[in-house]
Amino acid sequence: MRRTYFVMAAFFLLPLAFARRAQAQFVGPPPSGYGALNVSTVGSNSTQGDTPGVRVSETFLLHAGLAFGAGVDSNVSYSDTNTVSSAVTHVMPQLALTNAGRGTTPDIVLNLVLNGDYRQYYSDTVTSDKAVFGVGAGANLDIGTQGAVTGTLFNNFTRDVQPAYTIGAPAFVRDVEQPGARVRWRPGGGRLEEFLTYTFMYDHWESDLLNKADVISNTIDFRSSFKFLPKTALYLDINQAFYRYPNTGGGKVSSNPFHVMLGLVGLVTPKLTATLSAGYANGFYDSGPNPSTFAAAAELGFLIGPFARAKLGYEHDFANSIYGNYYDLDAIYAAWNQQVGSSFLAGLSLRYEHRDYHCPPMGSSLAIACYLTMGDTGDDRKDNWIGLGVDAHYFPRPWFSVGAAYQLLANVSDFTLNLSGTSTKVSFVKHQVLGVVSLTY
Amino acid sequence: MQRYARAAAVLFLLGGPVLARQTTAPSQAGAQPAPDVDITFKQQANLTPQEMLDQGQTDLKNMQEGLKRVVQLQELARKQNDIIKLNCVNDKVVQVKAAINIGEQSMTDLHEAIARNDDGARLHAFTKLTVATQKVQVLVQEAENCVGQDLSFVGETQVTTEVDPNIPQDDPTQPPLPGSGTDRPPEASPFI
Repeated sequence: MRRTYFVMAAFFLLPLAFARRAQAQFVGPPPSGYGALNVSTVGSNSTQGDTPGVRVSETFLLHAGLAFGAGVDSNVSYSDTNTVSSAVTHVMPQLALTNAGRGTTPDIVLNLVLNGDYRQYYSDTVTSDKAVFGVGAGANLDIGTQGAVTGTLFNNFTRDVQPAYTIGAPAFVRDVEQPGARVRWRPGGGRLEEFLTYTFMYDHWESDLLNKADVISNTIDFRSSFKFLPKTALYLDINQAFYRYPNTGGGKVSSNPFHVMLGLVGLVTPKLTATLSAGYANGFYDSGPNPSTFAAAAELGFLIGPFARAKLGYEHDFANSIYGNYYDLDAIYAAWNQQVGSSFLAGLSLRYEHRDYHCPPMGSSLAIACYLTMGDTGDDRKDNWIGLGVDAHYFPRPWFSVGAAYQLLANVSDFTLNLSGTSTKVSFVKHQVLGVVSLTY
Repeated sequence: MQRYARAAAVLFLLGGPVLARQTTAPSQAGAQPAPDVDITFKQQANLTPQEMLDQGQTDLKNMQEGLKRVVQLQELARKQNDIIKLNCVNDKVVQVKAAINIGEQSMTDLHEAIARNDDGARLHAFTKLTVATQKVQVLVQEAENCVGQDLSFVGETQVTTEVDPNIPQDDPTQPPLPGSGTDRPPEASPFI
């Protein structure tokens, strides 16, 4: 579970994590990811002053935007055979309120972000949840940004709707509420930095079949970093999480995942950034298989001239899983962002994940845990997720953009389901193409 | 064709002396030669709004420190019962307070200019603040002279940090806040 948002980041946040784009891209890339709606809780570049905004008080600016997307989804239900394609449209409003940006950082900073996505499928074959709406809301309040001690309160809420694996079945509707707090202490003029972060999360499935996988987590993270250069630091990160499943009957197992990582982050040269970390991780599951493993991550970022940035990374870890207890994760990813002239932007991202799932030895026929029928082995299922995204946007004005995006999403798995005596692969290949028009103020 | 050639020749012959006259005119005039060093005060601060605000806060703090020092000297002169020193320092205290008022007003103007996105007014306010700060520094030194402390007191240690402008402004060492995201559940049963 700790890495669940990393998958999203590969498609939503990764492009935004690069250099600030020269123009405002209010709604970010078109909806993509593993079937998720555009419900990011992160603000766009507009909040940093790329667009004028509406002054609602002496210090607060409101940025509003609306994007419309239309395209084709080649495989609505993520099927291996008998795929159903459909035309699809997205209407994506966004609001952002902030008192920062425009080059200033007040002592108290408040940021509010609200993203919405209304998705409509047009194929007659799609009979369930043809029109759905998701929302992402993020808020954070920083107090004492200029001082040695900074306090932060934050809250994220997302409601996401993803198509089921079977046409006609109810969609996966999921609500995630995540409040938290952080204290940052910078003694000695910032050479040393200590971060203590607490995060609560309630992950709720609206379906009666899946709500047995509802999870409540409490996570405490402590990070101590030493800046030996102005923007380069060594750090020690200790993360302790507690996962509990309030609804019984799903076969899910409580756990207390623990990570301790030592790493280096920051600029190696003015044009090269590095994030290197290595450490130990343990799942501490109450029963069944338990990971006790080496964890590592490496990422290099390159500034290639003033108009291009690239990123290359690898990570090895484990993640709490809805299927089985957990899966081992090995991922590699790369991305490229290119600006051409002052009004054309393009991006390319690629991510591959190998997931090795681990089930309890005896398995279970419960819907949420490892599903077993006659002939299934039920354990150590292996999935290979592949995501490729390409997008290009033209900004004739800072507040207006026209763009297009293509995404390939695939899973190659060794797992098969026995449905009424028929063996069905769970692998799939999905193509999505979308054109997007975006207005921003 | 010959006419063009002749015209070009005439222009060449006439143009040469004109150019030579232009380049040698200052020395022929016998007036002041161009200085080797430009000492006019016309440089503009190349700072971002946030950097100006940070520097402004530092300047205000320094001015307050200056006032504190001058008041200490005033107290010292009072204890010495030296009316000449006291009058001298009192005069500096009044001037320091006036400069601080100007500095605080300039800081307010700077905030307003940044909020209005008015670069000209921002620069003007920052310049006023800088001048006020320098004035306070001079007054503190003069107050030291009033009580004869200038030989033993050399001022607070100042540390100046210079960052290569080629280094990106973002700070990658700051860990992001936890984000909310949902992973798609794998197809695993007839139910999901």
